[in-house]
Amino acid sequence: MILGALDVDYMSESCQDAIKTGNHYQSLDLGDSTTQGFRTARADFLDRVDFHDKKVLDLGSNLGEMSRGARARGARLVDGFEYDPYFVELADLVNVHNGVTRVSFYRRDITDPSIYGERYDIVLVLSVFIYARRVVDRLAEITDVLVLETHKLHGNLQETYLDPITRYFPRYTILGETEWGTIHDPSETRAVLVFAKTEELLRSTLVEVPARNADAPTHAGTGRHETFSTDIDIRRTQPNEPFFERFPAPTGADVLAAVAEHELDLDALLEGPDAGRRYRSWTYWFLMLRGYLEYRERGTVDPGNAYLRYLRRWFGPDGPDPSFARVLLDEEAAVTAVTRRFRDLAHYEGSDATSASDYAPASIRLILSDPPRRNPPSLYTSSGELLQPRQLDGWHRLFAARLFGVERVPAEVVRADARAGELLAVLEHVSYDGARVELTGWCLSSDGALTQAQLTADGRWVANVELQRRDDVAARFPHLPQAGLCGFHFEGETWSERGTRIDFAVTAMHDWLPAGRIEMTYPTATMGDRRRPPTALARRLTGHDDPTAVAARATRSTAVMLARLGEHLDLESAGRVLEWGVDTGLLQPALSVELEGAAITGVGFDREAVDWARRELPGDFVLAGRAAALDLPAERFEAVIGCSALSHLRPDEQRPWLEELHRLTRAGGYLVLSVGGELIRRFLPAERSSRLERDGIVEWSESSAAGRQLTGRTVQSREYTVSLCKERFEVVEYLEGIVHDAEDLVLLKKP
Amino acid sequence: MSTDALSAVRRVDPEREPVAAADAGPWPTVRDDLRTLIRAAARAERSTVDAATVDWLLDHETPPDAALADRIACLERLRLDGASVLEVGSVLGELSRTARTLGAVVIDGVQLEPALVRLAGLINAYRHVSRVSFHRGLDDLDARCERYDIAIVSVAVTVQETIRAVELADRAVVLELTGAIEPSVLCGALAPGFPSTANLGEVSGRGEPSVMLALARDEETLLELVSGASHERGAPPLEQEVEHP
Repeated sequence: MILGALDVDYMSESCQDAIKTGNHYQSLDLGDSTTQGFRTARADFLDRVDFHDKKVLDLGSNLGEMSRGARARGARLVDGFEYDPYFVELADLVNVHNGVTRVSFYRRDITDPSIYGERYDIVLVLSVFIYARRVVDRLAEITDVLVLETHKLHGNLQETYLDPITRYFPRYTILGETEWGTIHDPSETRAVLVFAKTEELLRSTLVEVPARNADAPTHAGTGRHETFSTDIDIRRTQPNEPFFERFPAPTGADVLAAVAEHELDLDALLEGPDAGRRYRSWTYWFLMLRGYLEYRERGTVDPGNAYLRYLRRWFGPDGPDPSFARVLLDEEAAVTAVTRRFRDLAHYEGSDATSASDYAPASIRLILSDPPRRNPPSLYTSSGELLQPRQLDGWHRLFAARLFGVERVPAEVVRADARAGELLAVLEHVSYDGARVELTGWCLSSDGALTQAQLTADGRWVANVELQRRDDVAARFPHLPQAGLCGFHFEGETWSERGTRIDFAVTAMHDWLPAGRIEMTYPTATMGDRRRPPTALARRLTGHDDPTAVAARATRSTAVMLARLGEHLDLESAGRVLEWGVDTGLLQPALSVELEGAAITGVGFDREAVDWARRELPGDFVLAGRAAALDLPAERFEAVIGCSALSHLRPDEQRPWLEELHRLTRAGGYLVLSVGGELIRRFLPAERSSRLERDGIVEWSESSAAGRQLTGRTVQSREYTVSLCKERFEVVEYLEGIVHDAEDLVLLKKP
Repeated sequence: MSTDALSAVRRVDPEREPVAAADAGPWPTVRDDLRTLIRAAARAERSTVDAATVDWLLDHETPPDAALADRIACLERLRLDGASVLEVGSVLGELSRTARTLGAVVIDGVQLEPALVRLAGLINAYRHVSRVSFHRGLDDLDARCERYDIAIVSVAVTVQETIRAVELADRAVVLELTGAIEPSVLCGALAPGFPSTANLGEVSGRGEPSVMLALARDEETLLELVSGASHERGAPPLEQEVEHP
């Protein structure tokens, strides 16, 4: 019945200005069927807010997705206000259907100040601030904390949101950005912020995001979202180039004079073809300066101010930013907003006669995420770092600073990066002919559903794709709902600047924030000719059909493992190196290139693989039986590299082999090994997972193709591995999930 | 208890303006479908649910079930402004909804039968009742360490469940007692921490009438909770404090 009601083609009109909202705005989860709304779920941000035992009000509750989300995260009581009675009806029904308790929906006009009577611990204002703007003072009487999602941002974060809200809720933090919808331009982003009356309340409202590898010293960053302050170097950044190309005067005063003298028909300019390009046009900035000159002369912003006229013409209700359009409709708010921009100009000009001398423009704000958006602005910090934000708030301050020769302006930066070791992934096919790249595979995040993926080559953007259904993967992970939508297939064109190799990275995203990254190194031309194992052999050993895909990831994994080793050993003069498990990780082709000076001895478990290596590869190769005894002298090797070898052993074989490796390694030598560990563990079915919990180690199901493609036969906890290795070695480092996007890395030293 | 008293029952949720059919205006509505759905669900559960009662619950007309009418009348002697209320044995939820009209701000009804939980929720949706939720059993509420000002325990609930419900109440308990055992003795056994007792009235039934009692932490709480106008409304006077071990 609910799904039937959603099938009705329905547009709701808002109580103010008849802004339309369809009935697919939010996503619905009805037990076993999920409808995808226009908005994708914002669960990530709700996770950042501590709802435990809180009384919550959700303004503009729509179908109640966010209200139920707050309740699911421990809220004591949730009320949702929604203007449209149809949505209220449906939201109530969804509650009954899903057995949701203590969430109530009310038909209310949220612009009406008289409806706000009861107190709440948290008020959610998600994309409805244009309605709630007039009642901020009332909200301040009933709550101390607001969680706010903006509308699309166009450099108006300060005046549309921060200025009016911080009057009542002075402390705030930016949680990050959301996408506006999957079918619209994904670069149209919105920010999510938490406002509170005191710093203490703000802190207690936010949930600390635990760092995944808190005790691993080399894993940078704490959590996904990191905030820092910096300075933007204006001379290097050169913002608003089209304007300054047209008005190339040496000083700000000269530019102002040129603008003042410009004989132009303002009305024609206002309607001209350039004007509609808004910030990218020179006209925008020209008219802002004309408006500024009028303001400087009269000390006020008149209704006929040239800049105000421009804004009204190009930022109206049909413009890109409905919330700023609302500001402009309100005479007083519009003048305040424009005056603030002029005061920023006056501040940087140093002629701020109209205001108190202690006035200072706010910091500009950047939201960075890796990968960046398609055509990001480029800004340089005063220490020379390039920042390419997905979202920038402060174009006007940057412009003013450049105009008046200010060298640097303060900036607050929110960083939301993807990194390797977060996703469980299999790369099934890679091809690259020096121009055209094709890449196929799948990836899973333990944090939930992924929505899209982006391919970069040597850091350059190549393509974006929506993730596709993979029923075969879903069948392998029947216990993971997100396994249904996990496949990616990229086709694109790119080039390699380095000639010998190209680094591809696939970044998977949920809620438009990066969830994790799959990295691979593809050997171009010269490296591509090098000998690879026959396809049939590779397929038998790895479960993969495409030896190129195996090699691309093996090359990357080798580089990762050698990089860890290189922190402790001089790889240039490495001497003797043991590769333990030539056939488990298929490392050899890459290893012999990376360690050109070293004498490599390879140990394999598979006769055919060892025969092939002896024929085709430089170095000595030894066939090992299952017994942990090699016919090699003791203390022979400076380093041991073992990719997936531990995970190919049975649980009871690991200790004898570690003892044998101990015998073969020189005192002070290092071992870098990969092991089925904490990343894979997050994806195990409940039964295996609880056995792992109990025993520390578990064997992947006997015939699992998924298991073979990802790792060997065993998965073990970090604690188990560390305590096993500690019997003989010093454990130097443990990193999760960074080998083959599946196995953990452990670096050992023989004392 | 007469049905006249019932006609005076205020059946409008104080915080919720019902969206009348005439007000549907430009909005679509699933109200008629919902009514059909509820009645069909009630027919499917006819072994436990009386169709006439469901119709009454949908339309707020004269209740066909005299016992339920009596229970509502008894409950209406309580002042519940701002209270949190637990009702164990909530069946179709009408006492919980009544608690809402009396000013309670959080009401959790508990019912073991899943079909009844769902039906009671659908009736809430149809009637646009807020802040009243129905739960399957007490375990979830226990797990969340919920506390309530008042626990209402139906006559059909087991002794163990009654004791669990009483343990979740801070200020008062409303019990319906029947049978030969002296109420004061039973109260002492079931709710030893609630010594102050008031008789809210009788509930007629097929057999012997039962009695609804309010049991409070102390006399002061009892006076706050139970309307002092009991004599004017023809209900029995407040009983004396009972002795308990």
